[in-house]
Amino acid sequence: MKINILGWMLYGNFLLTTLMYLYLFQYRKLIGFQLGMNISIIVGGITALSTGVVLIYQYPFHFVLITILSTLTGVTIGSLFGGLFDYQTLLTGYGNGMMLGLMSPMIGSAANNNFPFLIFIEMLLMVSYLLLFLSVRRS
Amino acid sequence: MLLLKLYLFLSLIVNCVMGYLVFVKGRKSRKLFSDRFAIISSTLYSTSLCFTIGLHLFLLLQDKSSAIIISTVIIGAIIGTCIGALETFKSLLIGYFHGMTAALMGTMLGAILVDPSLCRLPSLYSLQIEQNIIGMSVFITLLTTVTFGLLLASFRV
Repeated sequence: MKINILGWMLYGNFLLTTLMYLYLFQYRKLIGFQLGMNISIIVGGITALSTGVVLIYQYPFHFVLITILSTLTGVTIGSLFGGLFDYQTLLTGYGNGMMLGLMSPMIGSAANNNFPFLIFIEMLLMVSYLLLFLSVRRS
Repeated sequence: MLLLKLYLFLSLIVNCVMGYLVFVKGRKSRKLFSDRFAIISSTLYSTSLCFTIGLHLFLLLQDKSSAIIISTVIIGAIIGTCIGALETFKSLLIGYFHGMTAALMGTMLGAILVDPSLCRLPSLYSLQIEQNIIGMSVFITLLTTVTFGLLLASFRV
């Protein structure tokens, strides 16, 4: 039951990230570099955090492999979102995704399969995507 | 065990040499940097270099842990300040802060790899500590190499 929920959660996160990428791809000419830098920091960090926490809840016996996987996820998504704007935002998203991806399995394993913590991480992701959506609309 | 220490020492040396080469290259072309690029490059550079140095130092000398944490934080702060001092005073502050933070995080990762019960990981991990240490060290070295490659590519601009 729980494994089912975790798998769907990961899938939903990646679906949301893809939708956000497609949405930002339309408006990338209108966004300045200051907002672009913040977008790449937020999206790379929060995706790496949620991926690491969800994966360490699901497979608690593969710590090193999951650290590698979540770091690669953070690096890739931060670079993709930063690459929409210019090379310096790419570097910013890369660095922040790397840092949070290395940290996130530690947080997940220290939380010791606590279910409200998982809900909290998902709420954090939803709220940050909502804020990002609103700030792109306003600019 | 001795072989593992030798491997970690060689890996630390390789990382430091790569960091020094990037420093020399950045020092040559420091007049070309804009204000914003100076901040971003010093952030990324001090983060990745101090993270590897903290991790490898903690894994190498894991007996005296509190002295190691204090000395790695000081080393990270000094390296970050040196990197940030290539450009302006703003990038000096940013490099100092990120070097300190990354050294703390690297020692944290090393502490969890050495003692998995710190993070309530399952007890199976106590059987494969050396395997985990080598895997993580190889991955961090590869990640640092890729980061330095990106930085070197951006110094041309």
